[in-house]
Amino acid sequence: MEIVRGQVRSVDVRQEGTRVLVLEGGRLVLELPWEAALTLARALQVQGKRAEEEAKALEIVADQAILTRLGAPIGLTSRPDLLREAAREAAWDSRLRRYIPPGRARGIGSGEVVGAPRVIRHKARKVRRKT
Amino acid sequence: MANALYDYGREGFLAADIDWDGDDIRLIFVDEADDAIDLANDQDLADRAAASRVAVSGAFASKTVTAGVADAADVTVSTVTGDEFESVDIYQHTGVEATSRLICNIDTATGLPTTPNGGDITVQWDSGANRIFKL
Repeated sequence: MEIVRGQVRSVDVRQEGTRVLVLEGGRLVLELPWEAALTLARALQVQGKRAEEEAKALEIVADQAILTRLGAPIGLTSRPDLLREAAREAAWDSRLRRYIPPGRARGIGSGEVVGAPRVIRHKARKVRRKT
Repeated sequence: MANALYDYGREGFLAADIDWDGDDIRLIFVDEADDAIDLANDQDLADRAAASRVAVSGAFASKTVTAGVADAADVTVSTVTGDEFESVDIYQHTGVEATSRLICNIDTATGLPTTPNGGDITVQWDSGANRIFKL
């Protein structure tokens, strides 16, 4: 079933018996059994979240860039393109670089371990002068 | 700060841009007074001011990668002169600064900071389980 509506101002959703009805202006546009209604609701929730992510992409990138630059291991999105852009902003955005200077910009912490070597300064060799 | 990998170094290992035991890996003594380190954004040797580079080693020898632990033979840099240095950078040497990826910065080590006296300087790697570093 495909429903295409240019402008839907308001719809009523009703339950009648074991079926769910969707009405627009008193006119039935969709009638579903309860299982299908629940499945559709879940799909609408998922797609609605994705659409919201698209609508708020700029805000998500800006907020994720701040978190990334501060080293907070929190992801606001799982979209690779937004994460890439946020990482780029975290590194190069002039305002972030000004207000979160390199000393505070720890980045996301890692579990790597770096050893502590020993730096040994040897005596300088004496140069023998020819007589 | 503390000894740490550069973000771009870590990225280089994941993206297979750095081959620890196959590439030419070197170290450089860094005078931190001449360059503010940025572990998140410094990517290659060109990101560390030329004035901060006190001396460069030759290629590391006997490198190993067993169990994700990077190791190599101790490194000696001959007849070092110049400013006091506070840290050691390890990097992937390509011969071109802009593509020589920074891997790791070590600012916590016995003997740091060191003022060169014209003699050799040896970096003796940690003898513990983590050696140079462990991913």
